[in-house]
Amino acid sequence: MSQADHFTVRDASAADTPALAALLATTTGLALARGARRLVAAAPDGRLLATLRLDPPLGLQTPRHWYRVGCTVHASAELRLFLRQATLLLGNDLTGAHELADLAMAPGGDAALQALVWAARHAVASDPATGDGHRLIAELPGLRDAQGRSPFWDGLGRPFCALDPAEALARHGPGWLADVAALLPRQLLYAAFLPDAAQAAIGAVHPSAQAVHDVLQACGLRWQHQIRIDDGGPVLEAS
Amino acid sequence: MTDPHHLLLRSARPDDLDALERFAAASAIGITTLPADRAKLADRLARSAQAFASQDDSSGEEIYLFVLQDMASGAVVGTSGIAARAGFADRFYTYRNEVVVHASAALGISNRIHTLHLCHDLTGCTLLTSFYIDPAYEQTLAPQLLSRARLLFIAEFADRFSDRIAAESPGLADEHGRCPFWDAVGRRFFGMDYPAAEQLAGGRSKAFIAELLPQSPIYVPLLPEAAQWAIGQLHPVAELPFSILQDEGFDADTYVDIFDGGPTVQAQVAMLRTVAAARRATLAAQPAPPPAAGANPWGLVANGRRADFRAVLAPTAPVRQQLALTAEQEQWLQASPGQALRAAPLTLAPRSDA
Repeated sequence: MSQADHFTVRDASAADTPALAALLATTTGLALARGARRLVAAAPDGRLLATLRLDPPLGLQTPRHWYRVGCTVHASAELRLFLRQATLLLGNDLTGAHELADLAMAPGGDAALQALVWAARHAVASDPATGDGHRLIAELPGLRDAQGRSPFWDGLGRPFCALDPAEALARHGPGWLADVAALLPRQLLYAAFLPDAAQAAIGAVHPSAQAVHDVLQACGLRWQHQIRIDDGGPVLEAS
Repeated sequence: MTDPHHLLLRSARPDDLDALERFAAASAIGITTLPADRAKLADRLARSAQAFASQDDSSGEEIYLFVLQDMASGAVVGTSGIAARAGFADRFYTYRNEVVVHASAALGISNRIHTLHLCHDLTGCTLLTSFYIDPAYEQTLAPQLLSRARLLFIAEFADRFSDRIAAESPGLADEHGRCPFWDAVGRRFFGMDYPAAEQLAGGRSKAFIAELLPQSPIYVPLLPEAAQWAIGQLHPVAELPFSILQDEGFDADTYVDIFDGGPTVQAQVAMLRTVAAARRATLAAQPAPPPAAGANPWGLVANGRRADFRAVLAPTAPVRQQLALTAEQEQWLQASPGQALRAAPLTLAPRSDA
């Protein structure tokens, strides 16, 4: 039995900051917004094996946007055509859900992260203040090339917003996505109009997040056809 | 140079079939609405003859075909047509150009986004169709007579037509029928070339294919550049008939064809120059003396008959009540002195002089 099978689940404390910074590979953004919790799973020797952040219902002050991936069938018996077309519709479907973010684990920390996800699910389910079906979501990063460019953004974001996403993030902060949504198409889109690379990126997870994706799936979170607007990454949901 | 006096526009007859077949064969893919099929052309001519002959109220299904004859040689040198109601008994699809402004105050960005909306706006409009002129006559007044005399017919028999009128023009395509707009839009939903799709539809109304197109607006910025550029662009072979319609006052900015992106022009009939300037006149007692070149601007003169509709070019002054034609023209129009005619100037004087 490896050491990683023994851990305690608790809220993060100030003393965890250096270890969290190492685990999340960032020193910024560790401060918690009001109502958010950061959970950690710690080994008996105090090492952090996994962490996540549980955010309160989202999109209630600043709207959040996703594309819903749908399907429409164009059929004509006479033309012998039967085409399934993926469609994208911009919306705020997940407004009011709790969100898991900053998910990270040390090597071999799958079980620890699973425990944190389950703890978060219980916390959401038992919170009497949580209306809206006790929904819990987690966004996963989408495909990017070695330079960090997203083919999905190049195909569907850039034609409507000339801003470079990295630059926009630096200049306007993480809220820029709420503002950029105002520039994106609001009517139903046929994915067929996007370049092939952008179509391939719809709902695809970045390889670096595959392990986290698998943990979330093991905890019962499922892709329900919502994707991120900046890179097409999938949103997993549980309720 | 052809003498404009020798040009006669008349309702088409079944024996014009050979000429029509020649025109259909000479037209590139999708350039005219003339099917390159003798049986279908014969059927068109029969339908047209029936429409001209019918005394019944218009059902909307009628088509009217005209031909242009050079009476100096007797040769039929062009054709044009009218469909009483676009998309009769079905829907007539076009894309409507619209602009939506996407703006974010926080980001300080405001973008005008061009969108195409699949619509049925022009369903039931009268449609100008089937224009073809022998290239040898392109530089003469012949195409003016061929295109615009239709408007005199519509003005004369207004109860057979809509008060709104439209005309399709072919969009950009190469000699193989490859079309950048179709490749970016239609092909994604059919997986076939435009000529193949057209053939499959078998000459039926485009509604058959349009039902398979996306029903939500197309965001033009998502299309490849070649397709964006093709929107509203005219195939070079259609410049002449298109420019005549533009001169008439047709609007070319609102609608484009759903397949090739070519401009579909439209107007209120009453606002067209020829219709607005058309005057009733009577045939003068004496035939015109040999015409003095440049004495009066050329105008259209039509005989106002339905089944035997005829029109010629003659020097006309817009306000004169009596019109003099050559003796030959009187004979072609089957008109005798005192006969009611309808005339319209080809190039209009400024409004204050009208």
